[in-house]
Amino acid sequence: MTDIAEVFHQNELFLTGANGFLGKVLLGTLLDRYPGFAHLHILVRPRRGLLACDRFFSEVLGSPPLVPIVEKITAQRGKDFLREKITVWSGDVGEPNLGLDASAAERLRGRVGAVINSAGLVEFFPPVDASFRSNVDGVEHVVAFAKGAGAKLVHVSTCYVCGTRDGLVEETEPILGFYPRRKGLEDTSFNHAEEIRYVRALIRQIHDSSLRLRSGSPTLTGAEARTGVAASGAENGTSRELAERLVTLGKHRAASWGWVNTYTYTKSLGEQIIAAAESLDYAIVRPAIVESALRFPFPGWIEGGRTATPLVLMALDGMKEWPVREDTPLEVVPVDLVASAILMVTALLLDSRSERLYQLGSADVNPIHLGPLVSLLSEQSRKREYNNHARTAVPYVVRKLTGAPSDSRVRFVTAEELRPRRERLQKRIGRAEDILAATRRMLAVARLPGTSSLAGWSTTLRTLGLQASFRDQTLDQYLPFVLHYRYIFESENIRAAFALISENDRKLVPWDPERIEWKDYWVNHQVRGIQKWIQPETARNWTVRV
Amino acid sequence: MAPNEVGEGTVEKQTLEVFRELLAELGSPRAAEGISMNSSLDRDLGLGSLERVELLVRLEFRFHTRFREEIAQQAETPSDWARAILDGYKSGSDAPKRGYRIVQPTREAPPPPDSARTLIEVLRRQAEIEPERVHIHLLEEDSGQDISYRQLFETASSVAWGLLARGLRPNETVALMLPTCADFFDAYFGILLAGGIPVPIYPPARPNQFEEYVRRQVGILRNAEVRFLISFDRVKAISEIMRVSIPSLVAATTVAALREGASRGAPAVEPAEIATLQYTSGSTGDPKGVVLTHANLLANIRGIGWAVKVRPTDIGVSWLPLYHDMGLIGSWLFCLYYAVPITILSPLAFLSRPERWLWALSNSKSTLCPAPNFAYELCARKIPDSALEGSAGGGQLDLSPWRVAINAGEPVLPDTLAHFAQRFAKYGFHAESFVPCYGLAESSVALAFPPTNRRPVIDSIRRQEFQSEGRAIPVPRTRHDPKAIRFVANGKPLPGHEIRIVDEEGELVDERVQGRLFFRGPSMTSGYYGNLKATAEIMTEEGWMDSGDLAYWAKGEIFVTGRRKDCIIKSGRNIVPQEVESATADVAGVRRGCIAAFGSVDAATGTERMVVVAETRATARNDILRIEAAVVKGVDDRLGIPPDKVVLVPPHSIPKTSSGKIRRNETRILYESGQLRAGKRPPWVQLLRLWLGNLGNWTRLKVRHAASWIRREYQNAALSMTAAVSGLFVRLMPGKKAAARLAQIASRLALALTGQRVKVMGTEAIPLGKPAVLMANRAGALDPLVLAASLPAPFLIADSSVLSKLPRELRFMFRPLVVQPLQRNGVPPGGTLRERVREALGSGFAIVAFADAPPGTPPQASGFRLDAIDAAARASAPIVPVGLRGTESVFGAHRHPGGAPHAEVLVGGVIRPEVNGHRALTESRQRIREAIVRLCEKEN
Repeated sequence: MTDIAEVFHQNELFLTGANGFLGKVLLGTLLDRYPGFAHLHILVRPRRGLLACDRFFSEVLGSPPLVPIVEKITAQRGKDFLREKITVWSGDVGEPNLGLDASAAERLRGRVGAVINSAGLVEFFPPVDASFRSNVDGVEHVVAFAKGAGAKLVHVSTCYVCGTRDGLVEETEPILGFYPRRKGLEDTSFNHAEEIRYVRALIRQIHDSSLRLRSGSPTLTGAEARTGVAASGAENGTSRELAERLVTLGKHRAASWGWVNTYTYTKSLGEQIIAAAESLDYAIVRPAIVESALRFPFPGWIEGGRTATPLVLMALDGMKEWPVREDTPLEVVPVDLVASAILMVTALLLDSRSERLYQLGSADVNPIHLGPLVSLLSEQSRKREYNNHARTAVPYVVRKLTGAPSDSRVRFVTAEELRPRRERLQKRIGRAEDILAATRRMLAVARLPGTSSLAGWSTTLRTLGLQASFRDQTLDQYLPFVLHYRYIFESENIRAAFALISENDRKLVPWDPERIEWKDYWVNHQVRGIQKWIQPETARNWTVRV
Repeated sequence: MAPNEVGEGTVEKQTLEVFRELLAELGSPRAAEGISMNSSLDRDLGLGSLERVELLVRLEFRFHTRFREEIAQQAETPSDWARAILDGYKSGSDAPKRGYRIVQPTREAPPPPDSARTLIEVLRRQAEIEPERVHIHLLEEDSGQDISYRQLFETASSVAWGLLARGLRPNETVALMLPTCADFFDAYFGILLAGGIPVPIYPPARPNQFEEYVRRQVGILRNAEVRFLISFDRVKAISEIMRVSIPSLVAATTVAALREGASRGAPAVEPAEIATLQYTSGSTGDPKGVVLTHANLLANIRGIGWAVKVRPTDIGVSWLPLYHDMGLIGSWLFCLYYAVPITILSPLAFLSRPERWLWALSNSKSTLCPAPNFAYELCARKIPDSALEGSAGGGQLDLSPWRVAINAGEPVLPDTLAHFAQRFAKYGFHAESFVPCYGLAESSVALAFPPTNRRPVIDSIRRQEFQSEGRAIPVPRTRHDPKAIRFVANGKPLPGHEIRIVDEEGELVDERVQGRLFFRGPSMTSGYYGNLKATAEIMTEEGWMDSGDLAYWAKGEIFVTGRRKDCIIKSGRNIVPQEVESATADVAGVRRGCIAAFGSVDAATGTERMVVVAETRATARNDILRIEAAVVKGVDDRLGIPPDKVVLVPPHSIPKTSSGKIRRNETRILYESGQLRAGKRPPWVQLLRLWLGNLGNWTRLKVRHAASWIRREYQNAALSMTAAVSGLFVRLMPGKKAAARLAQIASRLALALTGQRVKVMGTEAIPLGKPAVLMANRAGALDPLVLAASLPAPFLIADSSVLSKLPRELRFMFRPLVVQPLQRNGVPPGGTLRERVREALGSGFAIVAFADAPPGTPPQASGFRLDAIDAAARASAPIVPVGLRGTESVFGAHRHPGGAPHAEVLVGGVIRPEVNGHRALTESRQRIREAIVRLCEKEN
């Protein structure tokens, strides 16, 4: 049996990405469950004029989930406990040597037992250079740092590096040389080092050509060049175009190998860098979709629009026709289980008893299928009359325009069935707007009253159109791979790991997805958490970014 | 003349006048006399493509108007022209407004994709780093459109999805019968992205050639075994006829139809190794499909790029047909590879107004452009000066940026080069830009290139020695020899390619001795598609390929002299047919470009006779005799040897290739069989004849469709009924064992009723009546049915996910066979899969655990859950690997002719899983997987 408290008492830890959703819960779990840990080093990037240290104490320790824990621990162990046990390092995984100066690296050598890398860019289609900086270069730097410091490495990745897949994803599948369309072990067409070199060269080319364009400015005439406005306009145009080209590059590279987005593509590259590193002892942890907390720090804690958020919002908005497969399980894991698993894996790695790869899913023991889930959420929406507050006109118009009564039952349709209906809806909204505008003009010409109330109507219509197109966008771009494919992530290794830790530790860092009551979790944790902690705008922004 | 005052009668009268003038000048006054408003341009007046251009220019000049370009090639009678003239007045057509401008790229081209292995990779990379860069400026009548890399990639992807949805499978061929239009590019890459092989064929041009067209294309498409034909709406009638005459064809469709549906990014299909089947327009023999792989094309494109020293600022233009190697590979794909923006106009646009080509070159500031010799000749001779003086948008014709003017695709004539350079020097054209090169479809497109920026090197040689001994002895520069033969230097082979010139025995010949041109290199085709005999004829054992051309070496460059098969051997002399033809062309009354000279073996004497077939409009006996005599004299004067036989035939009797080259060999066959004089029938008669000829095929196709429809409906009905009825009884059975047994009997019955056969092997390994776990891969949706019908013992199914792909009735029947949830309260409801399987094994059932992967996934890539293995290990039950093959063909919609499909169930030896721990489980899984892979790969 591995005694986690003992292992952490003997080994210092180095954590990146502590200010993320998972990072905070991970930090909280460690502080709360194993306060006897030897020492914790945290890498924080200084931002918004804040020093790394201040940022950590205000933004991280001052966040809602950590405040009660910090209060408890200071009450028990004194005011200086945290400052003594935690060292905040100012740095950035995107920089060589993590942005640490040579003396800092020297001081850390030999002290750190394990590096936990939970830093990463979770944007699905960012400009590829940004994604590379966090998820590829970042991993390279962390690997170099861990090797230099003589530490082991726990790396947080994602289950979805497997790409589009229908069925079981085994944990025994080799990491190195993997790409989603790989036809078997003898298929060696993918080499991560080659791919990285190739994409870096393309990124450089794109930057260079955009620089050339800017300095040459062949499109500007002399008169335009003299006026500063035009010049800066062109500048903005170029940088937007530059970003777009980088986004396209990421999409294409990912798609050409079979990854669904730039995020999973760069994450897989990161994994392969680690798997190829010589003389590095590592474990890779791949959570599925990380969602709100089951128990710790408190049920329902969630932060930032997560992957399943739009699903919840759309269901609560009264969406009735879902282009999903009913029998598809949704691979969700509560964030506190993920944090437990990571600590467990770190301890086993330090104790040299770990596997290389841990998938953290729930569907292989306790699946929740989309059919019942969507019905459940839509029932919630009816119960809470969520969509009835203060916009009585809108549901009526929706009903008229779509011809679907809002209290009808949830239906599962194919994307092909839904598309013409969605297009029809958009067309009808457009037509209605045109008619309204024409009527308004006529009224204005005839000097009749009523133009102002019609203006209100057209605002409503525009909102409706925007909502519908938001829904379309979400369904088109990001949900397909979650909703259309039946992923089951084999999570045997973490179950085996759970059997390797002591009885007491099993209570402190539980891994028990088989015991989740999904109905209760979704209604009381997930939906409440989203309503409480996530502003709808944030979620929407997040989805649009996706 | 004031346009709006012209009456209909006046127009008709004047139109006929123009016709008469032209016909008189062309040497057929008789045709001119007999002309009426309804005479057929082809049959009665014998006006071909080039004469039509002349006609267009003259009529425009006479009436101060401009025609739509198609009119030149589509008008059938003088009254069509008159109507066009009147329409022109009504719409008040003066100089047309040019709405479209070619915008110069703002950026240089990115470096070429050196590491790309397929054209798909090339396009993908361009779409990655320069998505919005304009790839093609497609010029249409009076407008145009820009096509960016992103656009091409996205539309091509949706075409690919359309093809996949219609059932295209990897490495199947798809015919492209499209004119130059945006659809062509989308369709070409759509086919590649779907894993298919594009077969470009030329679209039907004029209705009066339907019959020959269809005959030729059907031959090609049958040889290519095409599965789909992509054409356009206007030729529905023709594609329908082709559909019934080609057995392999599944459907004739259009790009618009294929693009309907979702755009979901590029499909994940492995590209075929072959990138294109190029059916040679070569003048000899049946069509041969040159197999060109991606590697061939890329090697050739890179070779050309090296030879022309391509620059990132280059700009291209092409009017060449896209179904032909020079237009497809040499122009379009070449520009795609180097990200060179290319302006494309249709061959029709060029033929009706050759000046449009020059204006396109000028407007786009083009630096690279290939064309065959006749195009340069046409520009030098046919364009009126007025068409070159300033465009509507202002600006002068400027050909000065044009640095590489490739002249290839047919013999390069020194006179043409001189004429062109002379006429266009004042527009900035440099004679140094000419690049007369040599290539053939069997070498992708190009084989030999001279250095750039050099005046063409012309070799004058003595006729006597060349014709009798094949020796090319140069004429001294100082002496002018009117009988000398002149050839243009074609340069050196592309890097990585080799050329050798050998005699009939295969020995290398000396410099300046004519021999057969053999070549080899990375661009070389591997042979003709489905034609081993023709392939064997041109391949040597050392990997050399016979080009079929004759050439000699001189000054380190090759000079190609002609086709070997076309060569006429007469009195011990080798005579090049082009020489004879050009001598004949100078005779008044003979149609220029419509002359074929060939040798025909005389059965009586065993010697070869030189035959000259020439088209003429003359019909009077006296004229014919006069022309015959003039031809004999003309050839004798030029070559010093008279032809044995001169045959004068009416216009359009000599067959030509799609690119307008004379088919000498076919002319010879027609001549020898006495069919040369067969005239052309009107289009509707041709169509009718085609229909009648294909009636048998059509009926057979319909019967086949009907039969397969009946069979399918019967099978579905039988399957559903059996499953639904048995499903009820299965549910009523008292115990699970009895239910499983009944389902088994029902499955056998269903397969027997529908005539499906299953081959079963090795079932003796399955322990009867004892608990066991059977692990199987997923081959088709009906796996559970096939397995139930073929195993000796009844079984339960571990995981219900396997049922989701079954038809409703079958799902109903099999649902009771899924292992039961546990009767206990708790989370998760009914227990985990592992617990359920353990329980069922404990009650003594045999259990089938399928791979958790979609049907058709190979076992090495399928996921197998550990739950069943763990349960078997704990219950000490044996595991039996089962390999399934061919179950997807049971009730399959796709049936390839020949050989009834049958599914196979192959059972392997028992494997006992190890019990100690988690790692042992995964090791057992690996052993089981390997066993299933072995079973699935087993030979019959």
